Amino acid sequence: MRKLRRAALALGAVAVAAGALTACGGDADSAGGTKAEDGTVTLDWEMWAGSEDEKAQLDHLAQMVTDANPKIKVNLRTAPFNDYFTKLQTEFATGEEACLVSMQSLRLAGYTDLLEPLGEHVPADGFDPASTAALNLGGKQLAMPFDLASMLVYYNKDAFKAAGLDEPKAGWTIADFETAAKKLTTGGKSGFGMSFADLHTLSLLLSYNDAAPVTDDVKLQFDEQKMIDAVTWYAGLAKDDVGSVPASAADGGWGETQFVNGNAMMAVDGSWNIGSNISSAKFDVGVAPLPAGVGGSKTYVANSGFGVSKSCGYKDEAYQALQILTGPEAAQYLTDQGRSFPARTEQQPAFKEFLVAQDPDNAEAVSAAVDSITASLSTGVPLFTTKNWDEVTKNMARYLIEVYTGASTPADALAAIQQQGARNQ
Amino acid sequence: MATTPLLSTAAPGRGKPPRRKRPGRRAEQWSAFGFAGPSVVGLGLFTLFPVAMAVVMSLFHWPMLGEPSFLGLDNFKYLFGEDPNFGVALRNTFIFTGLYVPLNVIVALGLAFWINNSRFAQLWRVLFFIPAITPMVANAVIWKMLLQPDGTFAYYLESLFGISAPNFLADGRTALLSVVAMSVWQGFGYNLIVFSAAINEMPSNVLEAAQLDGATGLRKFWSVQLPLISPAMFFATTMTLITSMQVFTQPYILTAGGPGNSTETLVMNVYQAGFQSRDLGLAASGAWILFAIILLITALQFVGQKKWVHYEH
Repeated sequence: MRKLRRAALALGAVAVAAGALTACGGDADSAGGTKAEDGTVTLDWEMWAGSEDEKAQLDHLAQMVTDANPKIKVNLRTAPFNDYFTKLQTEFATGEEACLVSMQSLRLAGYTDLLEPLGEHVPADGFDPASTAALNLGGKQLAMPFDLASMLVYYNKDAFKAAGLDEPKAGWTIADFETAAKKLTTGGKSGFGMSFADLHTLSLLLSYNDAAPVTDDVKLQFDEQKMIDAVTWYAGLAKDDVGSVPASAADGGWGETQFVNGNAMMAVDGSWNIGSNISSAKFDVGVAPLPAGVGGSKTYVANSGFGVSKSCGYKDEAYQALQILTGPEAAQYLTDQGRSFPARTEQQPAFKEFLVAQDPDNAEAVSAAVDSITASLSTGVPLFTTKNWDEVTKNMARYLIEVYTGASTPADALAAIQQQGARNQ
Repeated sequence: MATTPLLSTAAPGRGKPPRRKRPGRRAEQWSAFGFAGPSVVGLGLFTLFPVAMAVVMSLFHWPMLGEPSFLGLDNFKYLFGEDPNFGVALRNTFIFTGLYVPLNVIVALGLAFWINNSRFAQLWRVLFFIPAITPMVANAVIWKMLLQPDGTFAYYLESLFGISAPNFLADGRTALLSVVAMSVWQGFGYNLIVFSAAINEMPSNVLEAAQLDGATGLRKFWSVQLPLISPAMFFATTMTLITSMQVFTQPYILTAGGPGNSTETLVMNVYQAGFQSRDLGLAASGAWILFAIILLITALQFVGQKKWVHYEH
């Protein structure tokens, strides 16, 4: 009996010890890095990566940090993009966040209290102003950018030629766009691939009549009259199959997929897809800024960058690492790898060179496309979003598709998005 | 705790056997402890603790990032009162279950009897089982292609019957039915294997006796064969019902809960509360309601089985 009791006690002690161990593990990680006896600091860096190639690029960047500062090492932790933000918020919730955190401008609002304002610690010289603005919320620079993206109209050059239409160029208007979409709708193919994704849809609404879904102080205003007018116009494109309506609320990338497949002759897509759209389409691809509405051509810009978590125990080292990760050499390296349109102005021309070298047969198209990015950026507006933006985009998908199919009115759908989103914004 | 009476009955002076058995029993207790220990600790840490934690969380406003605050039953009140989606999710889940479970069992049972008389029984079983073991996401993606405008179904409806197909997954009237259709196709293979095994195990003497008594066709099926495989049917319906109440992947991939909220299910509602609205307390409340519903229905099934399930004694 006594032995049994002792055994039970021992088991209890083991359980408590195990609990303590896991608790200790949490505490040690919350610093977001570790310090060795010789003073070398290893910083954890959380970033998305979808392939071994991407991981190799990021490892190269991590090595650049150590080459510049031998006392700083960077421990890369990755997740695929679709899981990245779920992982990140779980880490923040359990105190396991990294010192260096990768952040997308659209998700920034959810992390304002968790990221350290970079202020004077990291100089912003040499960046495209639109790129730093997109990661600056409430006057606080919460992350430093490595890329920059705007939304563009991709069009099927062959179809424009066959229809006898002039190709779109900077300065073309909403009326030009509508005329082209109608004329290009023939033989079961649509003139335009519709979308309900945030950047794709909201950018075109913005260009149409300056409709903005979010106020300057980042509150939802989906039910505002301009939004209703703009959505009414956009949904009107679905009439007579001029706009190809997504097959379901799960088809986030409908418009651009239909475009590349040759089923829609125009679509709005991000500048990050220039290279892949031109090379994977079986027709000549043209790119133009969004058509101009009442206030001229406009687009939302979005980008990604790196920030420092507030809980980081080695902030000075993190600031130093950040300057390398978003510095000119790292930007040059990523641009040479064709990663994306760089946030640093000096490296932007190299992106065009890279794309042209990748696709010499389409040199002219690629070159013109990159010029369109530069043109669109001058009127680009950062899209600041609410904390619960995932919920908002989910509801945009579910309710806008009902407007496109005629099952609901723009006012009702936008009211539903507003009402459901307002609770947790 | 079971050791106490054993030890106390072994009073001293009552003869040798109890005394001699003691060390052996102790050794057995030790090994029992050793074998059961890891799973008891595992169950406690990874099942019982999270379950208890979910109860606690359901009473709090528990944001994923930030400090929790006590709410009492407000989460439950919100779900049943203000939440525009929870009631619909509940309704959708019941409609899904109400259609999916009977269809699944009827298809699986029908095919199991048919296959049983086929020369290629094994081949059919493998073929029908393939969807059940293929990743659900892959199945759903294929069905999305079949169902989309200009997809395979739309093409055949148009060319064979001259009917112009609706946009199956974007139309609120057909979206949930499409999800049910895909789910039945995906899920009946498992029950088919269960029923096939039960049909093979039907005692031949009972069947022969029935035949001698003149039972044929529907009469034989209804009064002899069905009762004989009723334990398998009970198992299949119980398990299918539980999994169908938890349906998530099919609507998530096919329709993302839309259009509107016409295909949002309970688990999807829980997922969205937790990972999109980042309200873990609300998610825990939803999960508890789902658990209670499943528990109730399963209990009813167990009570009801006495009337229709026949076990051989």
